[in-house]
Amino acid sequence: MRTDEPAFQTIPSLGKMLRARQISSVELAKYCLDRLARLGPRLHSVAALMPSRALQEAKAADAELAAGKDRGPLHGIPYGAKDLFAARGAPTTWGAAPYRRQVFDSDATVVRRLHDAGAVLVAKLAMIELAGGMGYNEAGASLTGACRTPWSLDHWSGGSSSGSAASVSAGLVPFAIGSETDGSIMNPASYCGVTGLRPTYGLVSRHGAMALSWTLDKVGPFCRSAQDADLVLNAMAGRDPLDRTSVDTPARNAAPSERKTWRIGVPAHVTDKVQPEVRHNFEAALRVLGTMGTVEHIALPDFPYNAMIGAVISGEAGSAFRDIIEDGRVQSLASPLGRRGGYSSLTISAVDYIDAMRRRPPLRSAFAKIFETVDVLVGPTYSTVSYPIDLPFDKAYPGTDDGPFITACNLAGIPAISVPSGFGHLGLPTGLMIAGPAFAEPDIVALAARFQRQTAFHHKRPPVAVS
Amino acid sequence: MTTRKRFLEHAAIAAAVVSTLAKADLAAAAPAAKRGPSAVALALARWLQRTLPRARLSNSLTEKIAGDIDDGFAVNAAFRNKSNAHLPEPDFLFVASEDIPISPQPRSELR
Repeated sequence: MRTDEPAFQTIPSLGKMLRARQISSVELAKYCLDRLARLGPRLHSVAALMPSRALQEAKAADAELAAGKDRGPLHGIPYGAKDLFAARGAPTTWGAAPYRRQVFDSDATVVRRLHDAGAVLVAKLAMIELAGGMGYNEAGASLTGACRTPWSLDHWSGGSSSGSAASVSAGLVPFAIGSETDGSIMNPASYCGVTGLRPTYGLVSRHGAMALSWTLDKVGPFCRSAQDADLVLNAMAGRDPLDRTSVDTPARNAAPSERKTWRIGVPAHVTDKVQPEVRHNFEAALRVLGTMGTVEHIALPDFPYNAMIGAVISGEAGSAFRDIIEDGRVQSLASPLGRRGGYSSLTISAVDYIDAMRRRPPLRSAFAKIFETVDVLVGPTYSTVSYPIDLPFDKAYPGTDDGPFITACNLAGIPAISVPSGFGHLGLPTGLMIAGPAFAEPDIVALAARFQRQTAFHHKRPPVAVS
Repeated sequence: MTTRKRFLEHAAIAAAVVSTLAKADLAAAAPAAKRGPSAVALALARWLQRTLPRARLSNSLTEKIAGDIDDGFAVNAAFRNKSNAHLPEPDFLFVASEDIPISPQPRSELR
């Protein structure tokens, strides 16, 4: 086997190799375990390797394929899971010192579903402590230290699904799963130059995943391409009796449907406070998208987004972690902000929380109205490239502002995909975010896939991956 | 990225703006970004310090928590003096029977 060849194959390519017996699932799992062990520590992207389970699952996958049983596109494909998902018998630290010895005796629903689809869990991946729920202002806010983007070891991977994005980017695993409350898939996907898909709220079960905010948390994949993300999402989606917010999904087609033309909306002011290269790359992306349909500017609905997200996350995270806030264990977190952030959440009023929640249905309606006139909304995923590891976030790029786009979409529960859109400051990647109506994942994936057929950014390999 | 970090940054700005616009309303709660926490926030933080003995909140940490509480007042300010009369009920998860799934319908029917 050549040293890095399978590392950057798509899921269908690896599946073809497996079915042609060019490689076995066991070989593939060992290959990923080796790369995770060699390159993971440089990136700080790995929370725990799972060789025993991986080889057991891989052997079973090989045996089934040999016997003619094929579980589908993920059969025999290795993957990693953010350390916020329970995996039977393995440490599940939630990236946080108070939970460093936590072990669950069952799998999260998504881990079980991926197992049922034949995927092979090779590692738990690093994350920002408690998914950032207590607040943080630095890359080092994690039990495993500051996770690096494979594009520069001096720069952050993004968070909170840090290790998931960094590990896919560096070719340590073909795909990984992460979660988003408000940006935790989009941000690291952008900073690591990979494809990240945040599904509609309720499409993927959160059972067995750390709860940060019950009304905002979503589970989604990081992959090499939009098409891969669709394959992984298909295996994870659907109603789960163990998560009462989850909903049924009709049979979805792994090859997303194509529209002839797209009506593409751009939120007003979306590039007002972004880095010049981010603006340049977004404008170039718009020119590509412009060949696929019409582009028009749209005003985002006028809501107090920061107050809404603040009240909801403070209220729900304060309740979720009340025990470690009250007994002081939260003060063992790595981030100075995280050590104290939970205390003020105990003083958020119920009326403010409910007022925030009462604004979410009208926000949902406002987005539904927007999606009567456009099929998707697009913008730069983030206003900057990755932050330097050694600077507090608020000191990294003065004058930039991410704006309300991501927060608005999260409050509305609508899906989005981030795909690489080029490179900016110091050669670090930038992202293009495509958001769509609730449960319109096939549409946003289709547009992202079309964008990726006309660009090559997702084929670029970061320096760490080939060293 | 959360969210909370971004919120805290924005909240401080929002609080400052709101305190300018509605000084009467927020006189007691107006955050003093450079001057230390407000008296109300400090009182609340000290109440937390007193009522959470296991947390062993130091005086300096308590003062920082008071600053965060001031940021939280910005949430309240953002919702204040706005008519809620036409806002719907919030979406909550509670149902009266465990036998009734909250979202039993297929996804296609939800669109």
